[in-house]
Amino acid sequence: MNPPPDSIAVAAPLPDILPPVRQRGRFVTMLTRHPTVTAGSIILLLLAIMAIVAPVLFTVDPTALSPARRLRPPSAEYWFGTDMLGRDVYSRIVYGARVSLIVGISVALFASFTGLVIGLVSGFVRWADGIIMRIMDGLMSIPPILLAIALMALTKASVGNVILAITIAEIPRVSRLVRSVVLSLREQAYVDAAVASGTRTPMIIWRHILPNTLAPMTVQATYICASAMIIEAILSFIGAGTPPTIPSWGNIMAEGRALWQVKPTIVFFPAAFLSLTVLAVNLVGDGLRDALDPRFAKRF
Amino acid sequence: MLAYVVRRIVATVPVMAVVALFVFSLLYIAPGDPAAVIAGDQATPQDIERIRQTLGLDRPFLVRFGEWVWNLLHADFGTSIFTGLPVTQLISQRIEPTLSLMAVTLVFAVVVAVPIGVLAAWKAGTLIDRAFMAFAVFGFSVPVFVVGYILAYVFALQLEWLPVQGYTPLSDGIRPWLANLILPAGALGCVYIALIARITRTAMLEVLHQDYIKTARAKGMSEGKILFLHALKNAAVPIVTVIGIGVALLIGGAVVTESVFAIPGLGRLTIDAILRRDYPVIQGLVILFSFVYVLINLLVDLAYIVLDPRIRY
Repeated sequence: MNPPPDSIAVAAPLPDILPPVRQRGRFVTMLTRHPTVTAGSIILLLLAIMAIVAPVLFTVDPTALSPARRLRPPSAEYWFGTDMLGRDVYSRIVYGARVSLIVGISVALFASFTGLVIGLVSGFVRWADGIIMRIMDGLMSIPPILLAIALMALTKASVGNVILAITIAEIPRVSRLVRSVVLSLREQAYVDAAVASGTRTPMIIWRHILPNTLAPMTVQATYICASAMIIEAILSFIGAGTPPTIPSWGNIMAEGRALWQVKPTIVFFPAAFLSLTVLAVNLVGDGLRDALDPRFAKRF
Repeated sequence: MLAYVVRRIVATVPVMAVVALFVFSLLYIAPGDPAAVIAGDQATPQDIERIRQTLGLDRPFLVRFGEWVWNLLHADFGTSIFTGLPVTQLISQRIEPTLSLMAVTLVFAVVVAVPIGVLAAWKAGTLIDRAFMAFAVFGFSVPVFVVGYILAYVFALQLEWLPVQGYTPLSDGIRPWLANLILPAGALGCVYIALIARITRTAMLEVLHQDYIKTARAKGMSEGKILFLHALKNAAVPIVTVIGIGVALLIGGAVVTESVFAIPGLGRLTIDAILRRDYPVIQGLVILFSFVYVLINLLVDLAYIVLDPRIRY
């Protein structure tokens, strides 16, 4: 075959296989572009590790009483001092992280799932929509903390009941969110197209509706997690939450309350941990909201 | 317009009916025997039986519910199991401190939050904006009782500017009344300020891109007039809405704040009722607070007519 004349430019031959489009680093890009998510996640990860490996973090039994060593100030032996029953406040706080994290995560999961189901039913079953939404309106007009208090007054104090009470208080908000997303999605052309081509409703929900509810649900779940942690602490603080035998941040503060003018550290150490944890969750939530909703991100 | 007002007022009836039904049926749907839970661990069978009769658990659900609602409509909230006093009497004895706290907080929060939100939107993207919004994230994250303890520690214990705890009735003069309420209102207002400031900023950003703002600028109108007369007025609907919704935060937070600052209000009544498992009192308080919340949001809805004459339903 004759070589082409010099005057004609020849493109370089294509390689047999095109290099794959680089998918690497989408997750990493998101983390660097949204530093708040990264910061919040790191704090939460550290707190979670702390809660899991609590027994080896130089802690003693958080419920061990030693009346002889009551109300010690923070020292090398008792990092955060001791409370009025001589218990080591540092150990109690490290173990207390377990309650906050378990309550926060459980409520976020249970409330999201239940709210998702209720919201889907409400968005797709016309006759049920009116009834469900009137019930949700009613539940939403009871302030969440009061609703949780009323529920706790009728059950025995336990972590499980705290989770249940806060979950019930949070469900209406998720249901409303899912319903509004479903109603707006149902107007989309691709859903009309799916209906026109004979796709069954469960398949439409699975393929077109559910994936699109995921982003707003994730953001909502982080906010629920933050609010559940605060409500748990409030319930424990006023004596209607986690039983006093289990160390939780709210309980530690409740016990320190009587003496806080003399020994403010007993209240301030758990308060600092609680605030830091909720702050971390909120940072993740705000970052995710900006990352998952580009319309929102552009404006802010 | 009258039709809208009437329709909106009528719409609160089913909402309150659901609240009443829910609060009432909790007694029946709670796992286990509520009479036994309320009576506590040391109760004798006679105690449990007495409570069951007081609560009417021995009679059919619908009959009891009908009676209970009928009494509610006649301002009879039942009788406290622990004290034997009418719930309405207990509530009316304690209502002043709570109303004072909520009213002072509401005014304080709106006065602080709206200018912050306007300023943040005006300076969007600058350091001022970032600082305010960072403050808002903190406001959401630090629980109300933590803010309360920090404020009390700094301003009452260390600086000794204000009283640490307690409440002085309004009848003893405005100054002592306000002095006792400043710290609790500051603590309670924190989350509320964060919420209102954020929404104000979002709503203002939306409005500031509108053409009529450009027109106002082109006319040479002063920035202050543009921001507060033209922009804020048009951003008012979402702001007022969130002020109404946020009252739920105030109610929940008031219970805790009163406990931190030893204010003898409805929050204390709630906590005492929980510790004694005095369910009629809890029922009465939940109904009352929900009613206040629904009423405030009704007022918010009616305020739309004034704020945005385009809204017609």
